[in-house]
Amino acid sequence: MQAVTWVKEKEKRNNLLTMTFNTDGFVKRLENAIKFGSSVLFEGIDTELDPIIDPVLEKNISKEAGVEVITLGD
Amino acid sequence: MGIKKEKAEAELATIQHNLAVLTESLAKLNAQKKEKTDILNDLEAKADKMARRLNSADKLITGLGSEQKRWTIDMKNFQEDKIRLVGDCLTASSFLSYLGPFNFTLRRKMLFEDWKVDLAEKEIPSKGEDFRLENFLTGDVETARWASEGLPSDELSIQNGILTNQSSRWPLCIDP
Repeated sequence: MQAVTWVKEKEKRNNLLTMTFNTDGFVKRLENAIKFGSSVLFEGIDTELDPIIDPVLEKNISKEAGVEVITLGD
Repeated sequence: MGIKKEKAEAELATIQHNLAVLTESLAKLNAQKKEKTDILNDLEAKADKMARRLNSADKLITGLGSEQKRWTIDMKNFQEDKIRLVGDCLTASSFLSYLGPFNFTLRRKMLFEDWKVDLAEKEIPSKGEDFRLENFLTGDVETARWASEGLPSDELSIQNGILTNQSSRWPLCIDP
């Protein structure tokens, strides 16, 4: 558990949010983290990642009227 | 008698007048002397201060002499490093892009055998054997901070720390 301990400690100052794909309303929480610039750690993931977070992993960020925008889910 | 007295009185008056004039001039001169003495003291104090400053400046210059030597050596090293930056940057970016999934032995083999040989063959300047990821992609200050945050200080953990922080992709940590 070294890595998790370290990441949690290191990202404390970025208001780290820890969640799993089973956490209730994790998309909403991820959305808030993106809005407010917090770090997010997904714990206990399986070989499959929930495709809903793909835009984040792929950094599908576009610019609309000078503001950076990412579309999460629908 | 009367005339003599008058004469004497006149002389007395003159002498008293002269005395007054001299007293006044003495006072004036005394004041001037005081003024000059003050200036002298002031200048002496200044001379003293300047001498001290000169002394300190001298010490500083002598002290900085060794710094100059050190900086000259540093500069020479940096100039050499600058030439080797091409190969080192290539190695470092390749590490960040490709070596994440591999274990320590394989990372080491690729970094210090395959890629090093390849760079040498293609005559790309690099530090080769002396190249250290932990110096190039991070530094003592950062690794010390990581250690205080709970990351072990061995080479593998520091490599993983570098990958977690510097990689442009998201890190997937397999952490049983």
